[in-house]
Amino acid sequence: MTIRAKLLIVIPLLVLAANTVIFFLFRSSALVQGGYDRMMNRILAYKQSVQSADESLQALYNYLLDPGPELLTEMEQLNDELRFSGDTLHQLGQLPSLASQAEGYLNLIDTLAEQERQAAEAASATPKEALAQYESAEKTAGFIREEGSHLVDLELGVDRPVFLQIQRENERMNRLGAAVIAVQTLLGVGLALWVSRSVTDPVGRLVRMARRISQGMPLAEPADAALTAGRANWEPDDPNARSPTGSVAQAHDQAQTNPGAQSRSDARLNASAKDELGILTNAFVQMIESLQAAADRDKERLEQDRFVKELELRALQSQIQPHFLFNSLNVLSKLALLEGAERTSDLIVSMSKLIRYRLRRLDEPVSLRDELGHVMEYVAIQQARFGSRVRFETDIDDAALPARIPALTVQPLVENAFVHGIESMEAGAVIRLAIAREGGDAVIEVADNGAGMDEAIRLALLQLDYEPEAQPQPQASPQPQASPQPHPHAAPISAGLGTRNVFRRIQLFTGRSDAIQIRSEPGQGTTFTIRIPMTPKEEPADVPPIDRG
Amino acid sequence: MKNRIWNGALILLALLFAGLLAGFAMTVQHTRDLTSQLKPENGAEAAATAGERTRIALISQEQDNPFWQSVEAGAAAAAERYGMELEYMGPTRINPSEQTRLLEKAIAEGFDGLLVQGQNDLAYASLIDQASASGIPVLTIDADEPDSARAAYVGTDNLEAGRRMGELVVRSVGDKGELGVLLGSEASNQQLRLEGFRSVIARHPDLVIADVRTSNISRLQAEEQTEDMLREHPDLKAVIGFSALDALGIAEAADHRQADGLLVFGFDDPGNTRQEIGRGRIAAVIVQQPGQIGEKAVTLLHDYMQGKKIEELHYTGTAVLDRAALAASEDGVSSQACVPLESCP
Repeated sequence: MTIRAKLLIVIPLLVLAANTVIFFLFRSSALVQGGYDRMMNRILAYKQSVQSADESLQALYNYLLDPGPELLTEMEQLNDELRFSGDTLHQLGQLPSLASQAEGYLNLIDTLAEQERQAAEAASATPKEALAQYESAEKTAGFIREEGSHLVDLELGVDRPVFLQIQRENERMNRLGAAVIAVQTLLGVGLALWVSRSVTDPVGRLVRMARRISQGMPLAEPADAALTAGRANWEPDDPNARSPTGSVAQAHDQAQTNPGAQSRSDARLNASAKDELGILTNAFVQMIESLQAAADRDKERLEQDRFVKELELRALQSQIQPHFLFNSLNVLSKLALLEGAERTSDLIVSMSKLIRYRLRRLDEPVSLRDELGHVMEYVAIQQARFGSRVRFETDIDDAALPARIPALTVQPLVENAFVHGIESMEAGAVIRLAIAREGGDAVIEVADNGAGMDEAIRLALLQLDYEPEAQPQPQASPQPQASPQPHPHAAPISAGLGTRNVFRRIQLFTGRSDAIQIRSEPGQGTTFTIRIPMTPKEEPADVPPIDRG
Repeated sequence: MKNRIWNGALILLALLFAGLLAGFAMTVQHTRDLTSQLKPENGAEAAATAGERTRIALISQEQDNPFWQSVEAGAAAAAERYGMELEYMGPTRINPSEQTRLLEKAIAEGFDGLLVQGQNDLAYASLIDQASASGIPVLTIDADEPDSARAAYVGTDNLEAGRRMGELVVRSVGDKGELGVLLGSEASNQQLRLEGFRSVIARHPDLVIADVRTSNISRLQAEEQTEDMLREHPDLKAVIGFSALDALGIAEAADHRQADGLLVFGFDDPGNTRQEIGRGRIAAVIVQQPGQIGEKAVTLLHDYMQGKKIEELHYTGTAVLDRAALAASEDGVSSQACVPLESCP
């Protein structure tokens, strides 16, 4: 429900409730008032009729004493008034239980009026008859007085218990009224809090979230906090709750390994809040998420950049010698050919090719074919060195060769096999390079049957988090420093470039965590498998544009 | 959780409020019902119904007298049956002049029919004539007003009842001795009873009515008068009361005077007359049927107003209630002889 809808429902509802109460109170008092009015009207009408009966009788008496036109008019007027009072009483109507008595009373009034009229008529002609009529009229007037007050008594007798009950109802109404005022106030306050809560709570959440973000904390934790606050899911052993730093680190890890999970939990959190602020919160959270995703991407790109720079720096370090070496080797090659040492000349050519390959721009991916050529030159030199001690086998599928791959990735692995895998073997060493195509992937396998490595080292190699702080000067000291396990593979750097460097570059290039596999057991040899997509990742470039300068 | 408490509390409050409003509505409804009781009948409607309805008045001898109340009950039942409005009125204490005044008033009030007790009085009779002349039919009940223009008499045949009483006394007392008589009032019914009684006693020359006094339909006066009589005539064999409360008063006086052999006779069975009969302090009473009188009177009035011819005299039955009859009525499931707690002045 939106806040607007809540307000639109709650406010009219409260007004309606208040009006209903007022209506009931008004209705009740109007009813009671009506009852009193009717009773009073009837009683007054009785009294009025009794009074006009007396007055008209008095007027008749005066007229009989002194017959004259003035007094006759007055008498007739009062007689009319008497009839009129009877009519009024008739118009008012009577209680059903008193209807019979009331009719008798009206008949009494009629009788009196008639007797008075007859007395007045007889006054001039037969005064004696007039006197007789007057006497009976006087008697009737007496009856009217008596019956009038009797009827008033009866009326009050009938009304009294009813009014007592009405008073009881009124008292009940008063008590109910007090209760209603209390409950309505509570209800009003409750509803006001309910509505304001739907404003203040999400705003408070947003503010907390914003404050954390402005303090540089990642979104994950406030999102989690909001989640726990919102869904009452608090678990005391929640790792996030242990300590701020710990939870931040944890959140950092979570964000790195599985950035999607947070956004999903946020979505769930705000799914319940459908009002305007819910929409705002959702938008805010999504904005933060995409900001974070962008930041992550930037960080990744920066890292890639750093690796390339490191590589380039290393290449630069050895650049002075390679140019000199390259030229020298060319001279040596020609000289060896002139002296008839063809094999030496070939080796020197290989050597120079090797060096030339390394002098190329390292930030551009090469084709697998080129990388393979480089590997073959390297193997030719190594085979000249090792002779029959090593057998190098290849199994190449030409279909996989167009695949793009970062330069100097396969060769270091082969080099690693030569240097560490089989170096200690006197005879029977085999190094095998297989390139095959599996679906959309090119699979490169470098295997040796040499020393192998144990599980700890294998996992250490696969631990790809690149932490420059842990290796303050990787370029400056290529040899392992104080490695507690002086195993060949533990050395991170070999022939200038470490296997780890290779792995990380492949991973960043492919964007896949399963790009590298290592199978190895101590004494059973080692197999590295690299998986590269035939069509490269859609990243704009491996290298930021600034480096292309 | 917090939300649920909130919602729960709000719903609870809302329900409470709704309940209170319902209470309000109910109170208003009650008030409306109550005030509607105070509402008059609509003027025109009231006039119409009042015009259609026949109003009749029953003027009793004494308003709170059990006998007259029984008459009224019977009359009211019949009036209800014929759709007539019956108004019951009477003096609070026995007062013939007040009765006359009430008759006058009833005529002035324009009733459609009247039921009155005869008074054996000329002025009273002329009032009845006057009513009759102005088109108001009058029926006499309990006591007749034979010399008036009354349409009919409904009630006990008092002469016959008096004779019956005489026979009863003769049977109990024998044909020798002195008797005392108490009359309720000077009304015609009492006189008729006495006349009937005398006619029987006259046949037995040795049976003498020693004294006749008036109790004014008061038990205390009956007691007083009886004590006087007993003082003056210590040899009274029996005292006969002709109005309802006499027998009880006589029995009380007999107790005081320790006149054990005195036989007590009376009319009707008010109060604890039946117990007194059972104990033998009262020999016998003659019971009238007031309910029947009232009912019959209204029925006749209705017939008369419908234009039917009615007979002038309608006697209702009487029954003798003595110890034997009492025992029989107590044994039997019901006995027509006894109409409980009815009395006659």
